[in-house]
Amino acid sequence: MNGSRLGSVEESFIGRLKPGDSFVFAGRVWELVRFRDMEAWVRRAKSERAAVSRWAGSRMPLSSELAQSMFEQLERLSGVSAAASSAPRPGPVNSERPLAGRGSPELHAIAPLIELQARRSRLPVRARLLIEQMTSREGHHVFVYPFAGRAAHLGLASLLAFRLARGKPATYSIAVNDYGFELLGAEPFDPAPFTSGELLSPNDLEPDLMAAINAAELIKRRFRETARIAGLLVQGRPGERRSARALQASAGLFHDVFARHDPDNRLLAQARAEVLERELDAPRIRACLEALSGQPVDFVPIERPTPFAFPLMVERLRERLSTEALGERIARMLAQAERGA
Amino acid sequence: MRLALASGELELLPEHAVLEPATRSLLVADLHLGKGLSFRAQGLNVPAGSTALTLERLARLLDQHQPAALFILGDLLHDARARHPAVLERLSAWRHAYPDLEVSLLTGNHDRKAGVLPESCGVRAAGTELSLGAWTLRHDDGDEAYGFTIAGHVHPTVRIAAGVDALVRPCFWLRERSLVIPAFGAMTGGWRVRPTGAERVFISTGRAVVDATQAALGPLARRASAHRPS
Repeated sequence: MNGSRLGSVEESFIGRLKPGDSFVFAGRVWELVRFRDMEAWVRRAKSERAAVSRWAGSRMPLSSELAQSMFEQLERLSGVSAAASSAPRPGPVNSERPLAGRGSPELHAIAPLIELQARRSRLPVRARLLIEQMTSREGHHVFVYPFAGRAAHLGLASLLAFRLARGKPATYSIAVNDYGFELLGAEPFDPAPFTSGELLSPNDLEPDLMAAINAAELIKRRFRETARIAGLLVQGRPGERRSARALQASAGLFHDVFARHDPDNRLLAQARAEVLERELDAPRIRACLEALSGQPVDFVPIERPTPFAFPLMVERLRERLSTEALGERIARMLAQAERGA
Repeated sequence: MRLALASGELELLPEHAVLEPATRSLLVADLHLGKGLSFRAQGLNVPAGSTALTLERLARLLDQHQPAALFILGDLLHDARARHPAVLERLSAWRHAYPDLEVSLLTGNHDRKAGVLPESCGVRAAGTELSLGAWTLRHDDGDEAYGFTIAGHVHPTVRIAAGVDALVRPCFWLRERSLVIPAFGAMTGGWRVRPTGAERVFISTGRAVVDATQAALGPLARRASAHRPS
């Protein structure tokens, strides 16, 4: 509270605290006094209990090493689970604890979930690609689990959605996490292109990926950052009362003006390059597709979401990819809304 | 799309304009000419071309509908910097292509910043409020003391959602006592509106204007309104 500077915390963390809440920072426990204009004022806290500061922005994708060891752990379990799910069960599974005593306490803790996964679908394993398909009120879902990290999954999902929508104009909603991704569409998915390997082919990867990110809203999203660094977005600085309102326009508007009147603009090219490098992890996508090519695919219809599918289904941060013409897209959406979808 | 209201009929055009059939008047709002130029003058390097594009679109609309009069519902120029010879020249060149057309401008907040237009632009300053038949024309739909008002100012947009898909589009916003029309300018942002009560929203598919109120409500509100006894 005496005005000395302690360091930076992430806004998403501090924004959730109320004045009076305490948190650990710089090795001490602090109490939040007020948070205004991007500055958090704190004093030494008397309380011992405190939240631990978190930085979520630097979320790193799952490394391939970690993915491999996850597969190893899953494989250690899969033998047991497969036996448990195929054998006739006399009583409730949990009471028997067929997985108890195997592996670490963590593995022990998630054993019921793993078993549910095996019962409703299959466990993802290294040599086979698991794809689950489900229908809900939201539409038709496919869940794919390549275990390649969220960045590569975003690229893979965009690529798949683009290749699916190339033949037949459609709009897909995409969710990703470190284990897999989900495509959600209005029409049922045909398993054939998934199982034949056609969709997951590493051929024409770069041009298809480029076209996919153009169809998705990724570049427009990334353009906000590019425009800010280029000085196009005039933001209020901490402590500044009024920003230059006359100059305010959204990054989306700038993106559209550039795309229409100056499509070769270097800021657009920069945003596109950053999407490819930083958000999609293009080299890992290629490696992943090459590893997947020739692998057998398990295309499993599921009735209810599996433990692996559930977090993807409820993920609210979603991407969208559309190859429909605007007029047709609006017409379809309105018809859908009238039906009460 | 024809809209039948208590004060008469209006035709909503997919180019984000309104045709008033009784007087054969064309209504547009929020052109913000010279906005790009004004941004460039202040050091933001945005590409040129939006003023020319806006005037081109307006010319196409005039050729198509051949109205007797054009009413601009405010914000013709973006600001004083946009009152630049390059913009004014374009504006008067466009104006001279339609010598028989009567062009009136309702004063908007940006027009006040831009100052009075030179005579050569041939745009009649119509003050802040004007009656056109049963309609009141204004820049913003303001107080309820007026008759049914047609206005602009907020650049209304709406988010429509259906199933997996969602979109934000400029919209016509029909309220109890007013119709707010979308911005006509090529370089304009938008302000999100959420229709409540009996309000309705209409969006352009490019070729036609359609009622998007159901899709704008979202699935929860739709379900609730389906259960409501009507």
